[in-house]
Amino acid sequence: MKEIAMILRFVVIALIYLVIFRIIKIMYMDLKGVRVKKLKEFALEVKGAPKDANLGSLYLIHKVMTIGRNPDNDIVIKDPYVSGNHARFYVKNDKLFVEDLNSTNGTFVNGKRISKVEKLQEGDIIEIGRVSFKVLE
Amino acid sequence: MEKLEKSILKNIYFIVMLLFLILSLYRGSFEIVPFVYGTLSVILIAYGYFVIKKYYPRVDKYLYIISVFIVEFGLVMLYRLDFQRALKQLIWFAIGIMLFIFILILFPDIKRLQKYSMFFAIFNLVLLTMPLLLGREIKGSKNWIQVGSLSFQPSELAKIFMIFYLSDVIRKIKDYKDVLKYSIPIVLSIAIFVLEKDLGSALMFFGMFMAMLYVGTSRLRYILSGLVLFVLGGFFSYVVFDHVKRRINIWLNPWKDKYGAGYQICQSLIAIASGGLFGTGLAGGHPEVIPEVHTDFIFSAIAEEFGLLGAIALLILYLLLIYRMLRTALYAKEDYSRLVAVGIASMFAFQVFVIVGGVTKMIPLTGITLPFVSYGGSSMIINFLAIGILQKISEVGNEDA
Repeated sequence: MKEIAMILRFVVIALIYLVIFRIIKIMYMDLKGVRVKKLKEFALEVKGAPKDANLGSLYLIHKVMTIGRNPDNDIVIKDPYVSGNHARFYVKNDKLFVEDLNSTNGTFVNGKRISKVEKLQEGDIIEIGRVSFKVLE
Repeated sequence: MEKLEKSILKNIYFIVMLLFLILSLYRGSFEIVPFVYGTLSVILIAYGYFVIKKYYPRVDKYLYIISVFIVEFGLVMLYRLDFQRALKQLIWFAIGIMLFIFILILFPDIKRLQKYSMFFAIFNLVLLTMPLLLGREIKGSKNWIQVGSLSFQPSELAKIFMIFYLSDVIRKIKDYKDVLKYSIPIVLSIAIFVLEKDLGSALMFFGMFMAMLYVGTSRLRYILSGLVLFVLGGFFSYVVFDHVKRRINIWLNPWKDKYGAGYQICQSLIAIASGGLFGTGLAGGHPEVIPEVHTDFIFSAIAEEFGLLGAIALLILYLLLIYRMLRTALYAKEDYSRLVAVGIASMFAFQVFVIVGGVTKMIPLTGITLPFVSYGGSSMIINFLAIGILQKISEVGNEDA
């Protein structure tokens, strides 16, 4: 029994160094700037709009995207039913969220008015004022 | 990438099981208990990894992977030394991982803590003075608080509080006057440590302060004046305090009194030497003759049974962990989180340096724990708390990448 253990002890040390070597290798790749995993991206497709002007347009969401009537928003909707700063979309941990910024007429996800923050999935329909969007991945 | 991580984790699980196999082989008979113990620890690791991967795919997972690998070294060694303690340590490990996950889920964005820096400074001092009033002397240092059967080392928690305090004030430093003003809590803490005879923590606090000051201000002058003060303070305490003098004399020549004051360090050196290059093998040596082998001297036990190669492997793992922490600091988005990350990295670095340097007689020995390896609840929990905070910073930092 002890003889096997004596041999195994060398094996363990070799294995420990192997693991260290593998960790170092990955860190080296990281230093060289190999981007291993891309950030997940989401997009919004315009499904319905009062004037049908922007129907089918795509909006890419990188990190944060705000929607409202004020011109400093990322998406500006000139619609009286939309509040000045209406809602905010953001990506966190590869998941898309929508946050209602206390708008007057509310933000609806699949027909239900949301109170604050809501997680979104592909295919969800979001209504803001008279405009509706569909979530794409 | 995820595949690589998983296969590295699998390698680690394999190594753990192999270590427990060696342990039971050495004892002559094939036992089942070591395997149950090993499996439990592996399940804990796998559970923690699963939660991180599922809910926080953007965080730096290597902080976790390297930490738990280091923990396993400690668990195997403790199991070999003292089964009762090993069981307790496994419970502490479980609590540590739970706390780590809680921090990821519940802890607010680090930036919000910025406002409370004065609170952190005051609480830090309160924690440190508590043992002077309530505590009792254990193993020559008065830095423990006892509540019922649990004893707790407030200096562990105080380190984290001090990092939060320093991260906020260091950014405000403009000239020498500011340095003096903001370093008052640090100087007080170090003075308390010297009174409590906890010299290792004093050295660590000083080292952390210098590292953060340099990163935060990038002025060499502050560091040089700090070092001059350190030398003066060290000389002063050598002359005034008996326990400091004794420590230094033991360090200079432990063999003079090898059955008395120098007993610990002599046994530690003998153990390290008898390990040789490849070690005596688990359960093949006699590390149990070293006093305090499960806490302060666990590195000597590892050096004896895993050999020089095993001990160096452990040090490389610490190096990689600290590199990974500094990388988190580099990628952090604002100065406050960056300084917190640097503070935690230097905390680990100095802690490893002080204790490994101490047991190998490179610097005077002062009893502090080897992070993640030594037996002890407060140390294990605080280390996982620190890793959790860094993980949180790396999550925020990575979102931009």
